[in-house]
Parts: sequence; structure tokens; C-alpha cells
Amino acid sequence: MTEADRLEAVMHEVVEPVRRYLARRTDSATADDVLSETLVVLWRRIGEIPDDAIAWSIGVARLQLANAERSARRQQRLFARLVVLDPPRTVDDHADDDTTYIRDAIGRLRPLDAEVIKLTAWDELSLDQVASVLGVTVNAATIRLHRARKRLKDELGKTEHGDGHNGVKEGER
Amino acid sequence: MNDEELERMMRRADPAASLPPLTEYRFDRLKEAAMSEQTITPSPARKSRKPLVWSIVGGLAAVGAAAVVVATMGLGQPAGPTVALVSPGGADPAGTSLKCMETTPELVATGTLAFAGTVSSIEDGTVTLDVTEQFAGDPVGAVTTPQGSPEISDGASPVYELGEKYLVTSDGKTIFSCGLSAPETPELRAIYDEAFGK
Repeated sequence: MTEADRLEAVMHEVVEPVRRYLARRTDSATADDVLSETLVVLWRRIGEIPDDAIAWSIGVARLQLANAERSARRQQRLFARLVVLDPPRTVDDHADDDTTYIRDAIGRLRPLDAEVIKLTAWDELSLDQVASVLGVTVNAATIRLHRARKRLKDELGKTEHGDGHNGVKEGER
Repeated sequence: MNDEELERMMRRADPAASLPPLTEYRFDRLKEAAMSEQTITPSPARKSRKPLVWSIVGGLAAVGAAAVVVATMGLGQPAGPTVALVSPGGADPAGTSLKCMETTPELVATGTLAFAGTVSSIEDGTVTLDVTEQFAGDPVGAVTTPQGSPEISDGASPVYELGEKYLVTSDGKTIFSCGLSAPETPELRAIYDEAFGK
């Protein structure tokens, strides 16, 4: 198998999981850029890709996305004086939207808690894979997931009782 | 709410649920773009110590009225580089009179490949830096770069010394010198820490 054939085979395996990973975390333009950069890294390291190419590739995409976001923050700092922020949304703006309600609750978690929940629920990674993506032990990933789920349930419950949200039937704990 | 119910709720809120699959055309374009990438092959951190091959061909990044003198990386180019440096009263390929800007976190942070590295060898004018800490960019294990010239005082690349530790910022092809990449000092470390949010 040539290296080009190998890249194509790996891409068939990982391109959709990586695309979806990025689509869940950033805007479409950034997702496109980071996907391209991630594939360049795959090509450069075609001889080093492990058997679990999906977790490895998502790990690469995660680092590339962090770089892209850091660059974006620099840009925002440069133009900070020119930007007028929209007023922050209130809970009432989306209290009737279950999807946004859940995403908002995730957004209130610490970044690593949110990430471990997204990796398991959205990206459907196993704990072994989550550990690989985050560069931690499986035990640490397991503990992190357990705590993150508890915090998310707390957040969901807090919003539900705090503003009278009643759109989620599974809310009772 | 148990964990399974939480997972079901999460999946209903999946932002990528309606994302259509890539078309075959787009897949092929992405593959071609990845394979046409002509940049260097970084060695992965702590896996391989094969260095990048850097050579100075000289370059200039002008920021406002000042300049950052750079060493540009060329894939597989032989040693024997020429250095185009800009200093007041010196040769000035840009045709303007430029000088180094003050080293600030903002300038350092423009680098997309930045790291701390220790000089592990200097052979035939080529310096090898083992990367000990990475601030930004695709992980690399080591880089090589041509030795700086002690005869050039303003804006030049550092004159590397064996065993010394350096802080280096670059765009992945170009080392930013002019004081942005230099031997590690507490002052420069503080600038790097601020630049990269440490």
C-alpha cells in the first residue's frame, strides 16, 4: 500500500468523526480550516498513525483547534476597542428551546468537564479513547466523566428550578 | 436523572446531528490539499528526534515602521545560507529604514510554532535545538537552524551556544529574531508566558 493509499484509507475512517468533532465546537469556517490542517498533519505523520486512528486524529484536531482559537483571541484583542458586544442573552430568550437549554448548561461547565461529556455523548468515544484524546489515564478520564455528569445534572436542575423551565421531562433526579 | 437519560438529552442537542456527509468531490479535494502540502515534516515530540531542516534564506516581516528579521526555513536546502538582515544604515532589501521593535508578548504571540529548546549540537554551522517545552504549534521534537553570525549585531538570529536554552517563536517556516527568539532569561520567559497564556 502506498502512502497515498494509506492516507485515503485513514481519511475514510476519520474524516467524518473529525468533521463532526469540529462542527460541534466551532463555526463552520474555522471547522473547515482546522479539518484541512488536521489532514495535513495526518499526511505528514502517515507512518505514525496508531491503530485507533479516530481518537488519534481527534486529538490532533483538538490541538489544531486550540491553536486556531488562540490566534482568534489575539485578533480579538487587537480589535477589542472597536467591538461593541451585543447584550448577553437572558435565560428567558431560550427557555422554550430544549436544545439550546442543554447546550447552555454544558457551556456553564468548566471547559474540561464539558469536553469529556461531549467526547462521550456526541463524539461517542470510549473512555480509552477519551483518555487518549485528553492525554490522561483511563482512570482519570473515568473520574472526570463521573464528576462532569454530576455537574451537568446540577446545572440542568439549577436552570430548571431557577427560571421555571419545564421543557425537559427527564429533569427529576 | 440517570446517566443514560443524560446521554439521550445530550444527543438531542448534538450540533452536528444534521451535518451532511462530505461529498466525494470535497473528500478528494481535501486529500489532494493535504498531500500537496510542501512544508517540513516535524518530528513528533518525544517519539523521534529527527530534526527539522532549516536554512536561512533571509526574510523580513515588517510591522508598522519596524521590522522583525527572520530566518526562513527551506525544505532540504543545503547549509550555506545567506542572511539578509536589516539594521539602520545597513543593507535593506525592503528599501526602507527599519529597526527592531521592542519585544512584547503581542509580537511573540504572533508565532504559530513557539518553543523552548536546548542546543544539543552545533556542527558545520548547523545548530540543533532539542525542544523541551512547546508553547504553540504542531508538536516537534527538535529543530535545526543555521548558526547566527556574531558580526551582525542588530536584528540577527541568535548566536547559539551549546547547552544553552533558548526561547524561539516562529511561523513554522520562519524564526522571528530581532530579540523575539533569544537565550532564555527571566524577562523573556515572562513575556513568553504572557504571550501564550501560561
